[in-house]
Amino acid sequence: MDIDPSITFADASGPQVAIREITKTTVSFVLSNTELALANALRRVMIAEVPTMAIDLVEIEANTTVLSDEFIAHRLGLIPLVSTDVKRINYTRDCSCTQYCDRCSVEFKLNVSCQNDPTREVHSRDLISSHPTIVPYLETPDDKGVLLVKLKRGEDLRIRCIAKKGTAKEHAKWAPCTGIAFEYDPHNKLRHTTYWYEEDMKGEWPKSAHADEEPEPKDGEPFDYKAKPDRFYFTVESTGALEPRDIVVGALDVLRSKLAQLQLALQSIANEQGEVAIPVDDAVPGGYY
Amino acid sequence: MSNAPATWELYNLAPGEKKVREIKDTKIPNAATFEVQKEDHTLGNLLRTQLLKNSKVLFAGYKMPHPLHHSFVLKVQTTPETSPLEVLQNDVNSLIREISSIKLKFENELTLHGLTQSEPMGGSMYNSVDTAY
Amino acid sequence: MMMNPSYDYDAGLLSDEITQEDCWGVIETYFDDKGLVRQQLDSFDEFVQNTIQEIVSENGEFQIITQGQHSGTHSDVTRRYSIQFGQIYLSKPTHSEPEGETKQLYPQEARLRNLTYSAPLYVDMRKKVEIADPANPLNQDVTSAADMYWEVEHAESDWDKVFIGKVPIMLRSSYCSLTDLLRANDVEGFDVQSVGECPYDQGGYFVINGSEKVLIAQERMATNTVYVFAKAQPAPYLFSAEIRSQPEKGSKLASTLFIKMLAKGGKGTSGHVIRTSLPYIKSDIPIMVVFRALGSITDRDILAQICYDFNDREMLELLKPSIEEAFVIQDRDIALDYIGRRGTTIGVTRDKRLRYAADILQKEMLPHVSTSAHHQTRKAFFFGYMIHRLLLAALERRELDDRDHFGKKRLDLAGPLLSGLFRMLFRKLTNDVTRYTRKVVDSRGEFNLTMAIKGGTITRGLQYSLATGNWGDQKKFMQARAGVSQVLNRYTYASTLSHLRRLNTPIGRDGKLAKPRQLHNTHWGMVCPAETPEGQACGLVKNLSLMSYVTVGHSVAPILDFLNEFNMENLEEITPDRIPKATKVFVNGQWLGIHDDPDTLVKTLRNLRRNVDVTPELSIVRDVADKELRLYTDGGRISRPLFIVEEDQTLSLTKEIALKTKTDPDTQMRQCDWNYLLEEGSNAVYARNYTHCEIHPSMILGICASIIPFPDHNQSPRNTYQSAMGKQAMGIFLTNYQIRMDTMANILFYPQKPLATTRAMEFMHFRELPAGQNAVVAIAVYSGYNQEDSLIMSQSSIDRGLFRSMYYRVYMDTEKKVGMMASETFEKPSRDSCLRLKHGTYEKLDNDGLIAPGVRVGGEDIIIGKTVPIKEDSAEMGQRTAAHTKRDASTPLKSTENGIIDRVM
Repeated sequence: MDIDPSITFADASGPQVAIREITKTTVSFVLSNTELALANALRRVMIAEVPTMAIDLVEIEANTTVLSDEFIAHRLGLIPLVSTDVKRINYTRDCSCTQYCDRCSVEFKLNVSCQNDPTREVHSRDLISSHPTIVPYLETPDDKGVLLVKLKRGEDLRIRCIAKKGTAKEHAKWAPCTGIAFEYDPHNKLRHTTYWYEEDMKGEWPKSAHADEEPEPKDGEPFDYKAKPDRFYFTVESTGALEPRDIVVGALDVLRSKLAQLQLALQSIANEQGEVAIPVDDAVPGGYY
Repeated sequence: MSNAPATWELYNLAPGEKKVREIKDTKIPNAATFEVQKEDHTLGNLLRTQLLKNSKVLFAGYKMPHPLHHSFVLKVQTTPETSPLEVLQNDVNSLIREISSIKLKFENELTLHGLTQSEPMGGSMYNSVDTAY
Repeated sequence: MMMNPSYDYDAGLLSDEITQEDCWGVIETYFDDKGLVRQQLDSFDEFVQNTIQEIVSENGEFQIITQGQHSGTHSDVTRRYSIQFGQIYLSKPTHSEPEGETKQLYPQEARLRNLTYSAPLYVDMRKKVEIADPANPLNQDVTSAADMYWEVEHAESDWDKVFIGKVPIMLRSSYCSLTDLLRANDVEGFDVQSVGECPYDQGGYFVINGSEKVLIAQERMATNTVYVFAKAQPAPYLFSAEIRSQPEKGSKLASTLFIKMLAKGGKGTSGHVIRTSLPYIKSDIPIMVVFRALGSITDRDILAQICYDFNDREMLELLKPSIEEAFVIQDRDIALDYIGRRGTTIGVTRDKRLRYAADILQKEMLPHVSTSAHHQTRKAFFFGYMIHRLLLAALERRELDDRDHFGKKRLDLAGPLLSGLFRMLFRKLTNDVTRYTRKVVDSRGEFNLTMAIKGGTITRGLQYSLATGNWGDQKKFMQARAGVSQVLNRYTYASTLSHLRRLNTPIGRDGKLAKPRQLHNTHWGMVCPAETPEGQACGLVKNLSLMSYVTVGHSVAPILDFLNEFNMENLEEITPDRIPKATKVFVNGQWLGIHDDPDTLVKTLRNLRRNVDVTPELSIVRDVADKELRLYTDGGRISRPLFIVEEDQTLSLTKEIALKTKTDPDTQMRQCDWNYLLEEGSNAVYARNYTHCEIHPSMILGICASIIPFPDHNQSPRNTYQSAMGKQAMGIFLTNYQIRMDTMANILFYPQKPLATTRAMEFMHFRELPAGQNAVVAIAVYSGYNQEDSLIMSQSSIDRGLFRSMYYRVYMDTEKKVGMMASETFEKPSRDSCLRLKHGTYEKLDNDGLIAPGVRVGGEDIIIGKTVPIKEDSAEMGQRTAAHTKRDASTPLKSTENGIIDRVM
């Protein structure tokens, strides 16, 4: 169903987006009039392929705590770092430096010892960053952050960490979101799932989160085997590393660049084989570009 | 872990390795298998679905040969008037268009919710990759 | 969960009804009070506090007599040297450094320095020299030295607190150093943590040469119990009655008595004759001969002692062939002679033969009844009782005995095991002292105490058995039982607990007889129905149920006093015809007398027990059908608490007492009764009246099975499999793992308490020291990649720390010394002076030959550098050059492992 772009309105046709709620850490939106595969691809990219910053190298100068070096190193890696500026940081693998440099990494220092108190808690706030914006994420100005380890009197911890840019498909510490709620077909009209029940399915199962968004099927309504899902309810929750909206926008960019890269590769095959090579077409219907 | 692939295998093409390889089918006309490296279900499923919507496509299917190997294969058969490669290029393009449209509409929605972009409109976060095209 | 609305679970809070929650309160008090290894601790305490002294006193005296030469000189007198061991003293665990300094030892130091956690044992000794002057008129006609008149020659010389050896001390027992710390824990900073101990460690094991050893309880058949069995035909005999008789005190081996009813009639007799075996007598003796030798001469007397009732024609008929068989022996001396002729002594006078036979009857036959003279009647009655039982079985009036009945089983724990060993070693020690004294006396030398007593005998003997598990003499380890002492399992906390409550049955390992391996009805509440290994030892290795306890054993004397006070009639004082109507009273298998009102007697005894006027360990078994009352006080019985049900069928535990849980554990526990296995006949009538009530049915399970949620919803072998696997779970086995230096240790980074818990976990500290993590699981195909128990895991969960763990391994080496010279040296070996270098890198070693903590190591890296000098003359297969003076003996890391050096000691 090819539609002439010149007669379509940007907002009326093609995929639609409606944001329902947006907070500091979450964004809920409805994506409609598109394919399940695309919605799912977006979900997968948001989980695994939007780059953030996370501590990747840990150099332990002193650790007399009860936790082993590798234990603390692992915990440090999982601390969410505010990564709004990741785009200005290179991947270390693409950087011109030999090991790492300040264009592809951020240094953190931790120097805590417990002298007088019976116990001293070490939080992510105690990490001192070498970068103005890439810092441990704190919910409120007086939030202490994530608890790393507790020190007993006389124990100390001196650590130097290097944070790098990466994606969650390499390690989950680079994941920008804690979770994504993804739903379609709240009334299970498409029968993509089966609800187990004892006597009464409706009575025993709670209503789906977005059940009110779509009309409930009438009793005895025939099953439409041709129907396809086309409304997708997303709730993206951020770890704090990125603003939730940046996760969505970032994911769309990543997905588009993946396809563009593929298209380039296909073009070169076409050129080699003397077939038709089609250039990347990034014109948005409705004509923004 | 002994048999886990190195993490860099997730995104780095091995020396001499192509992103995509087309293997034309020797027995079936207008059919080909595309081997896409360093990509997974995200793209595989997306492409397959897009191809299936195309009336010129007779068959489209994909699989990941092994869960630990970061690659997928996509099989396409088309009508005689076109070729799998051409169809695929067209469909990739339409996907790119669709995604751009979603992005645009999402950003419009953001402004509707009274949120200014953390980036000036139109400026992509991933310039380094985008500018290549 | 759906609740039955007709049953209000909270109603108990308001009403006086005892709720399930109240029962859990009682269970909690029980575990707060006793912990989970009480049997081990109590058994060891009994050994230390009583048994050692008993053994020393029992074997603690010997005499050496030097006969006078009858030369007529003045100094020619008979001398008697006697040495006596008196009071013993056990100190706290100590260690003596080679420099001579002795200081108190704590278990953690013993573990780290490969020492033995043991305490020195001292004893008071007394030496006495007496003379008997043959010239003394009092000694005129005396021939035997023992009867002479002795006068003290030397004033007694006393030695106080002579060191005789070191006894390994069980952790957390009353002599353990930690017990003092626990008592003094109101002083701040003075707790078990301050000496490197984990507060959750419950003790119950030993530290021998740095390794933790548990003594596994050994199951055995109870002694002094009559068993009647039928022999599968064809066989020489039809029925047998056996007993393994052992007196309460003393070390004598059990003597077996075996009475058989022969299958075919004897010569010239009709029917089945009955014969018995006797210790040291080579052939079986007709029972009538034994009776006559015991002093019951007439047929009538004998029959009365066997079947009590002359109207019982059937039984008398069965005895007829036996009477006919012994017709020729009608008097005591002939009977004794008959027995004596079949003994081991041959070619002695008739007089000696008679004495020999009488001695065997007095001392070797049924020693648990009596070993002193003038108790023949009692012995004859017991012998008669055994025959009576045999005949009852032959007449099918009473069921045959069940070999696997758990009430007839006893467990030997650390205490009895160690006392057996200690007795043997102490005898060896006194023998050595005797030998030495004799030498000194013969050579008229000076008696030197330190020369006489070799402290090493006991120290080394105990240590050898505990270290190797070979229970018995080191020289004859073939006869010794293996595997009695085992290295304590430290995989996870639950595996440690389970190991400390394990039982072993030393049965012919490959005997394919199924019966001893099967779960028996009488195991209920005593041993876990699920926790047993699979394969070879299935059903032979068991585990104690959560609330079961093993008795330590108490003296019978107070019970005997009570019985006499409550009108029990002694056997000697009654006529046999009264027996059928009265109830026979047995104490520890010994038939003491009869009682006419068993109902009242049982009630009185129960009340005495419940008021702790007699030991609460006393078992009272009233066998109504067989008219027997059996009381037990011996050690090794398994017991468990039950609620008492009063005669009006109400619980003696009231709501008021139940609510006092924490404040007054004593009163509360007094409402529970220690119930020991009742030996009920299989034809026992179903009780209409209850005497006891289960506290909670889940207490039938052992440690490992108590971790399983809803075990009653599983197929039974699944619980057994889980009980075996739970021991391999990873968690945190003890909180002090960082300072313990176990050869291997696995620690889970983020252990979690299970989402579905059991109440019993609370008492096993499963929430404080959990093993494992809660995982979300889906059962689905994953394009075949999860076939056959393989599984696919979420990479991001692994990234975030799911199932992350660390592993510790200890590498240990010593510089061996030859004489005073250190021959081996820790150093960094160099290629030019050292032969046979290994291929791993030596670069990570410091100059002292040791690696530094924090170094990352892998492959075959050398972590301890050590060299051995080569002998001057050896050519080392031509590789040696003049520069080579040493050979490498370094320790490389395991080739498949890598890690970081955590600590160097």
